[in-house]
Amino acid sequence: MTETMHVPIERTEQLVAPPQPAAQESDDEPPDPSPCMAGAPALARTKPAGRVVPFPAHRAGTISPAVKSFRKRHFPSVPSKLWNEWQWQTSHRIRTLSQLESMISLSAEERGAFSQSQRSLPLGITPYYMGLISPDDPQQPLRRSVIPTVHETVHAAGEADDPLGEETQSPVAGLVHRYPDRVLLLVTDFCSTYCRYCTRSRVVGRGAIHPSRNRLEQAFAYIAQTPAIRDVLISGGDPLMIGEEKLSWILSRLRQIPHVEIVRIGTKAPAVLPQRITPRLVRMLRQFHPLWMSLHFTHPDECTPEAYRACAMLADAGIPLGSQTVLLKGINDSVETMRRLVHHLLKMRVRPYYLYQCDPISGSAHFRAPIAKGLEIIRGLRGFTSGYAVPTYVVDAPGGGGKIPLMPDCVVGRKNDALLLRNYENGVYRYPESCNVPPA
Amino acid sequence: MGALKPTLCARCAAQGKTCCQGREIYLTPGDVRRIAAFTGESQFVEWNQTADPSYLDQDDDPIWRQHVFRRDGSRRILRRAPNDDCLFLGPQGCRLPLAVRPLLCRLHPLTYTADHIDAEPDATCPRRLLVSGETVLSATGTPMAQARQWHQQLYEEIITDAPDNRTDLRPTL
Repeated sequence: MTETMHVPIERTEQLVAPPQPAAQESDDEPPDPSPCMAGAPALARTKPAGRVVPFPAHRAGTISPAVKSFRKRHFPSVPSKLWNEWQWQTSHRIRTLSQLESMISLSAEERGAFSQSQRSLPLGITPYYMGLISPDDPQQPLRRSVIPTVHETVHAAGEADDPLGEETQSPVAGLVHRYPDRVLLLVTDFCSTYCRYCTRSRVVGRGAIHPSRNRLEQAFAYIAQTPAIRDVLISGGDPLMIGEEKLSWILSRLRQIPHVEIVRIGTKAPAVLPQRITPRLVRMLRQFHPLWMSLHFTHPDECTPEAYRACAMLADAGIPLGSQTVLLKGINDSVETMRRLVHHLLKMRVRPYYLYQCDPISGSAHFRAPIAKGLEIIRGLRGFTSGYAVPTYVVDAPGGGGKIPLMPDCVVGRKNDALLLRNYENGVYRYPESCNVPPA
Repeated sequence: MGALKPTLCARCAAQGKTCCQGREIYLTPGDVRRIAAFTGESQFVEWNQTADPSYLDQDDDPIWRQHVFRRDGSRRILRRAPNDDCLFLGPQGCRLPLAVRPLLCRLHPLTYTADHIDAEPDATCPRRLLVSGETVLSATGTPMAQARQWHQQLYEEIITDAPDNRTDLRPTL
């Protein structure tokens, strides 16, 4: 099923459909070009010259060099077919200290995490993502995001296991109803790779959320009885760790509820397990439009050829993609890193959607950057790059207050009847805002 | 159950049927090797589709879902005697030493998925037989550290099951 991951270019070319003759255009197609376009090239009808660019082009994509050499070193006998299967990647996650030690040299801080009798959040890293991790630099951003350190066990003031108050806003187990018109449906607590800064570390990997039909039926019943809900966000854990059969059942049940206008899926699969995005999965998902996806990219190093390919397949299926990125100290808290990340995302057809201030989860102090840093990053992006590349910087208010956007202060003040506004180059401009509308 | 879990298991066995009777126990390839080496037999395995449809729903545990079941929904289990008892059930409990016993039996009554062991043990384990101050785990004599080690071994062995067992590779949709 995942053979597309390693289809040689020659074979992909054979799969290319010949250009459709113009006579087969449907009635919906626009009529012949009007005279004003006479000089323009007939876009739809050009014969490809020379080498055909295969569709989808991403199928012929290359693989990340770091992952390639990691695989050669640690999984030399694993054939490409297995390596590129998401099931194999999931089953062969790095789960233990001894596995880690055989692949990277651990720092004292990292080793310290394993001397604690019980870590709250399990260790899990796909072999693919492990390949992106530096074996000898404990400060490497991707390494810090998935390898536990002793700092996880330090509980700082103001931290909580459930800072967002999800438990108190949960009418049915695993269903969070915080905003009137939308709900968060947690379907599983399993992830292929556990982020050490997880906002839901109180539940993930702990067996707290089973995707059992009974529980989900209760959630569907609640949604069906609550006509105000027009948007359901499926999250977890990682919903894509559920098999196609169950996932397709969940989506179809939601689609049967007339007032549910859109369904969203939150997943980190394209970043940590891009092999999960298979033609079979995509064929299934596209039956449930309008379906949106929130992805989770943290650092430009995650934007590998594999991740590009996964996003391209989702985008080609007509699924609008957004990325929710958490601002993390020492990982992505610089304008330069964030700019590289958002530029990659746009090329991957993923809209940088939110930049989250790191939630005050227990044991996350070492990841939290000050709010001033987040604002500095937004100031460094706004105006300097495409508007689409600038995420909304939000604080998810502790206590269940929801997301509150933070913006750099652009309103300088008011002078006479004009508003004084600061632009991205620090110049101040007047916008005439008269309250006295002249009589007609 | 076995000689090394005398207390609660012995109390349970005195009351009637135990977890060694009428249960289907999945065997890892490692279990099969160890039992075959110890007993010199090879006829203790069968492939069987479960009668309980909820057991087929293992979506909370992708590793189990992918490796334990064959495409037809069957999985490798320990054969039972005609009276439904486990083949290895003797008058004093399990005839297999702990190190040979199937990992599922060693871990019983704990419940778990690939990433964690539940705080609450299996509901079928008779709590009513506990005396005050006992927990199910303390009464069966399984130290948690040992259980974690078996749990890890179980999942290391599950994934050695043949890849074409994976239900998710079925050509549907």
